[in-house]
Amino acid sequence: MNTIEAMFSFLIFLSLIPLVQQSNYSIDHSHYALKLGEDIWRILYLKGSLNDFDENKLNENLNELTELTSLCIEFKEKDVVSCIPKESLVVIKRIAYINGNPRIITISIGR
Amino acid sequence: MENQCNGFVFLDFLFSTIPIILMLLTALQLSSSLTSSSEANIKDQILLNKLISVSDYVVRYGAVEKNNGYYSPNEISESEFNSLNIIELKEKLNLHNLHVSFAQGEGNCIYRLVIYKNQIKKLYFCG
Repeated sequence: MNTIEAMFSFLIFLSLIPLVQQSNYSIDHSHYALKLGEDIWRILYLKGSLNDFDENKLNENLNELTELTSLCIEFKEKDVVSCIPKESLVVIKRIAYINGNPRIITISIGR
Repeated sequence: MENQCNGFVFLDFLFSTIPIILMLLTALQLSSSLTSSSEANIKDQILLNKLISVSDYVVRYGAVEKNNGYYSPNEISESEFNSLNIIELKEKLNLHNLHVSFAQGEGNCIYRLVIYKNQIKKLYFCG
């Protein structure tokens, strides 16, 4: 009887092992994703894409960035996206001037 | 009869220790492997954080265009980039290796996006 109980306990113990292994520490890339998001915003600003949001220039620069990094970049308010991402890495909000008025722009970066 | 009962109980107890010993051994092995993989992941996290710190310094201040005291983040100046003291940065961050260039190096690398000579480029930081 003790043997059966001990074997039963051992089987339950084995079934719990995958749960324990899942809770192991994994590397957090969120800070790096945020930095990349800030870089993208800054690059677009330096390239002049954010001056009154010239969509042609914006699309050109977004495509160039996507080709270089394989990241998908989306401007939610302007409905401009370079590619459809499978997972979202970071979403940042910045203020840009559109037609002379400050507007909050949401950029979503994924891959 | 009583001896047979005692014998059975003893054998039952003996055999029940086998799964218990197996559980203990499995628990010890699991604990050891979790500790070593967590340790490796924590080291990688520390390295990633250090690379992010040094890349922030280089991309926002250390190697950028400076016009009349104004810094232009993410806009890399050739002269400022060439005069970066990589050894000093490596020592300050207590890194074994540090490689900063527009080509990917060896080891764990991150990249930052910059404008260099009017082109959008990846600037790699490897350690």
